[in-house]
Amino acid sequence: MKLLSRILPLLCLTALAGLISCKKDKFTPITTPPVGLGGDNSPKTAIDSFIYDSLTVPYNVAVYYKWLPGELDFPSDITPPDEAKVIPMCKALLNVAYAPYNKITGSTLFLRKYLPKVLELAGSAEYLANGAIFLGQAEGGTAMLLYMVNSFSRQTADSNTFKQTMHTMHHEFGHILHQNIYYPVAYKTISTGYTGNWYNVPDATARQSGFITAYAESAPDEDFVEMISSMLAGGPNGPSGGYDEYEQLLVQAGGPGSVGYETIKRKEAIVVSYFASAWNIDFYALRAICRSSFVNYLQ
Amino acid sequence: MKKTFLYILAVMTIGAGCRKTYNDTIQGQTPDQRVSAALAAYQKKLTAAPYGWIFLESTTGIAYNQGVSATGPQITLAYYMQFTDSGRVSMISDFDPSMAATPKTSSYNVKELTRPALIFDTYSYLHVPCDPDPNVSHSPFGFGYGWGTDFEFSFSDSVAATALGDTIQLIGNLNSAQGMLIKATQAQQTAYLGGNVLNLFTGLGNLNNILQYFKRLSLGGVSYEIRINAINRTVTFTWIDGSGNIRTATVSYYILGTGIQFSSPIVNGSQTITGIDNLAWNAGSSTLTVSIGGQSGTITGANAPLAVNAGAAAAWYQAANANNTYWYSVNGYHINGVDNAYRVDTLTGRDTANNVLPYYYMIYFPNFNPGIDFFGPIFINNARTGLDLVWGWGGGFAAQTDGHGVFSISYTFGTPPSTGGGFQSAQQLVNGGGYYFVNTGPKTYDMVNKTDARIWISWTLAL
Repeated sequence: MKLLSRILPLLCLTALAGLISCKKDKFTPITTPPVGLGGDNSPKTAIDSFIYDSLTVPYNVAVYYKWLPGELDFPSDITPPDEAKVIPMCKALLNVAYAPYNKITGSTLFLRKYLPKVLELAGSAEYLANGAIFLGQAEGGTAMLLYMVNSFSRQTADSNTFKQTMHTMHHEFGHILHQNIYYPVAYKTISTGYTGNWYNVPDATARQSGFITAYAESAPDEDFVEMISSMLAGGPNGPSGGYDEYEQLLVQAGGPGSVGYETIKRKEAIVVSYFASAWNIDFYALRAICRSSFVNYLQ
Repeated sequence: MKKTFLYILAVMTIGAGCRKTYNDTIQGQTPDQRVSAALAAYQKKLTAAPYGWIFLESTTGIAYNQGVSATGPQITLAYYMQFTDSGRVSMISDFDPSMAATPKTSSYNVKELTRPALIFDTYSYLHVPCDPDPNVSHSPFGFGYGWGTDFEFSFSDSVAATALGDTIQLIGNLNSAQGMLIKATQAQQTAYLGGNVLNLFTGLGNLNNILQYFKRLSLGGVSYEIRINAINRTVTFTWIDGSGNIRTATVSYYILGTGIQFSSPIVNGSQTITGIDNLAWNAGSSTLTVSIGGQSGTITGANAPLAVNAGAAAAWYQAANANNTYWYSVNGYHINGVDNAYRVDTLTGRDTANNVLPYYYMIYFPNFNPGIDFFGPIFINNARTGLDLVWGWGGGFAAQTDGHGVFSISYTFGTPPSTGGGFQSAQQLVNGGGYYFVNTGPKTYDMVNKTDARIWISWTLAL
């Protein structure tokens, strides 16, 4: 304490001296803002206008379709989207994934509030060392990443690719929803046997053990959103197959009375009641609109 | 003592506070001002080339994904690029004939990363060899890897942007591919926009009109054997030098609007070959005329190698034998210009439960049984989890002192059919006085029929 009382006046003196001597120092005024502040300033194209009018104004969503270094997993080999695919991809999202939510909730307000504010598009998938690929990612309710934009097509012949995109979209939006309001924990105890080696399990086998897809077997959160996306994005099988109608998946699970079927049905019940209680959404009605939107959108 | 120390400290502090020379600028410019001036200068440099740029990209043979590297062939790709002020770039590429004549426009950005960077930020021809999807890039590096090329580059010259000349050095941020922008001339632009890269692709394809395996270039009285590997983008020259020694050189090639260029020249005494141009097919004589450095040359088919590698046949056999493995060929025999001439892909086998098994590839397995080599197809098992041998032929191989090798067949495995592609392949194996062996890579050989060089099969070592 004694020491401090001696130092204090000294410090004051020092500070004062500093001020006096620095009086004449001139700091260069900043006339140029920091480079890159506020994002890239590349010239606007028709794609940028479309995104602004169709997604930014109504939904408050920014779309990053140009390659932003470090924005995606680094150092991974991922390519940016082909410009020609950006608007078709956005239109498909608007018509097949967003419109049903608007219709069921009565306005764009629900999506405007809960859609992640950043939608990132990548042209290729992200290839993982275990042989699996990322089709999409959701980050803490703030950003959603859709891969494989370059494979997008609305042709009936490519309906598998289309359904895969919608499946990814509903999957990631499902994450956003449960990151805002958590689903009943009882869901987590319906199945046991979640495994990191899900990619070694064929989908059909996973269904027989009560998981709607192999990926659902990876963790309860993934299980929950795979249920949502499989029910909302499944549709009539085109020539390329895959992402079949939910009823068909239940048949693969083993049909009524089987372990697979009954387990998936219990999960379905929780999903439906979660949508009703947490979001006041009639899930079956939403599903009906999603299906008709998808079928009508195919060319 | 303590007090003295404090006084010293105080004096020092005051002294430091009085230093008036502190300045956060260089020549009156803040860091942000300097960065934006540098970016503007790079941008201006790119758009100021009246006839555009030629962009050469050379890989290191290493590609990264998920922070894990994979190795593969080193390649050099050539592009023609025109940059506009509005952030657009249009380009032509020599990666594939489909990209060689029609320019594709996409966006680019010059921005500040840890170094000033040139980023091709939407999909273009440049991204195709980067694509992790093997169905797009056709990369041999494996699932999830492109060719080790880049689309995000740092400017790597050690001079200021304003001091850059007619070449600009770049280095890829993910795979460290070396990029070089070279200001194009009007003649180069005309050649590119006139579709000459596609013409050169076609000219190169005309080499396949020569049905013999061996292609002989004659230039100024000197003969070279040339072999193109269109997948790895290399050309191999073999010749006999002034002292009578066999010389071989393999170089990467890339296609400019003004000709096919080699990554390094082929030097044979006073003759230096840096590339090939004007490849014209002459149907009457079944030859290809070319120009090389202003000199005219001719490429013709040959029935035997320029120089037989005396140890090749024995080395081929031993490579598999020593490792207790086998050589495989997916397409089987190439005959008279036709790949997979015996359609071995249609062969089937049956397992003990009589399930039909699909073809996987043809194999030659030295000492499959002690003293007996196996030749025949191998099938995918019914569970699709492994491979099954169902039928084939047993025999032997004898390497000859002059470098060729002769096969014999004296046994059967299972019940091989007496017609069809498998049977024809076995007959071909023992036909025509044996085969020459050409080592085409670390684990690959081509085996060319000795009496008819229009017949060959390409082997890869299963390791």
